[in-house]
Amino acid sequence: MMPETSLHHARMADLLEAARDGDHSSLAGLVDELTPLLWQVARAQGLDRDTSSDIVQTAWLKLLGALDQIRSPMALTSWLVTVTRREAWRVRNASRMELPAKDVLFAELPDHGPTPEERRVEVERTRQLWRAVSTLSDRCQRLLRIIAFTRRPDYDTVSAALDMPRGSIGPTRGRCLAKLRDALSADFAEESWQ
Amino acid sequence: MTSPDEPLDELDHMILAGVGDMWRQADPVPGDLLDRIKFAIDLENVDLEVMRLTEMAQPAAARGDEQSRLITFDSETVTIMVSIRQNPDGTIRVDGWLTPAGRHPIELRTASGTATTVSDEDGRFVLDPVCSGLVQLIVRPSGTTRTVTTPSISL
Repeated sequence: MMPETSLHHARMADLLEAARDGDHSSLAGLVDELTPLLWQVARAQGLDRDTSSDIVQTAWLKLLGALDQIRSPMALTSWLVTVTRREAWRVRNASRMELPAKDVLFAELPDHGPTPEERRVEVERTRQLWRAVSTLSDRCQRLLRIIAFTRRPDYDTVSAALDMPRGSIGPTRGRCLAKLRDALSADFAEESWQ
Repeated sequence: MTSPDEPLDELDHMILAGVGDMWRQADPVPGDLLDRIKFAIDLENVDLEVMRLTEMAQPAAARGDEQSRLITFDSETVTIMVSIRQNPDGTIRVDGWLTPAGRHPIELRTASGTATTVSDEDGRFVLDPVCSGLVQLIVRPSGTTRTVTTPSISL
């Protein structure tokens, strides 16, 4: 495990302990830290941005009543991710909302207009990646999306986010990454090393 | 801890970092979401029942009516329907109807303070005037220690 990861873990554990003791700013620190992941969990279930915002907020409100029983940062992350995913499913089933078709989801990357030269390469890389990711199955897209926002190796969180058996995450991740590497042009890797 | 899969190599790590950056650019967390969450969870009572926003209708304005929004919040034990209307002076009027009907203390938290009222026997209540911005509606059902709260919404 990288030292950065255990440092992060220690900081999260401190925030959690202080938040349990009623320190609002520590709780706010946890919100900053974990909301980006929860956002991806809601959005990966195909909900629109307004609904996803409400769901992520609901997960945090529900946490207030459960904070007492949560002892570790890993447990906290899994708890929040599970509630977010369940809320997302509940809303989706209630409204019979359809997952957006892949071509809609991947219609176009937002175009931020002309970019300075130093950003041009970066933007071109993102576009390559976008095109490559859009060729993957929904399952692979969702899995890689969640993994990209998860500190490794945290399969509990990924399992909770996607309701996927823990044991199938590793092999599926391997297959999805292999497909993505195939779909990326060979110069993607070369450019990236520059 | 061992995993059955192949360890990731450096290119995998780089691709995953790229996927993360891609989603951060294409689908960023809404700018106001962190503030909305922090505002909503700044509550003392943890015996909470969290209401869900279940319906938001924006009826077509007819005959020069001011625009009004109808919102429904639901939880296991309480339903609140609110109508939000703008007053001519720019402040906001909130008309609510709460079930189960009865006299229940109601609070509307805003950035600048908390307005309180009590619903009538039919469960109706009015908060007027309210300033625009983030608000959160809280009900403390009579005869319980519970706090029923909505998510924060922007008026």
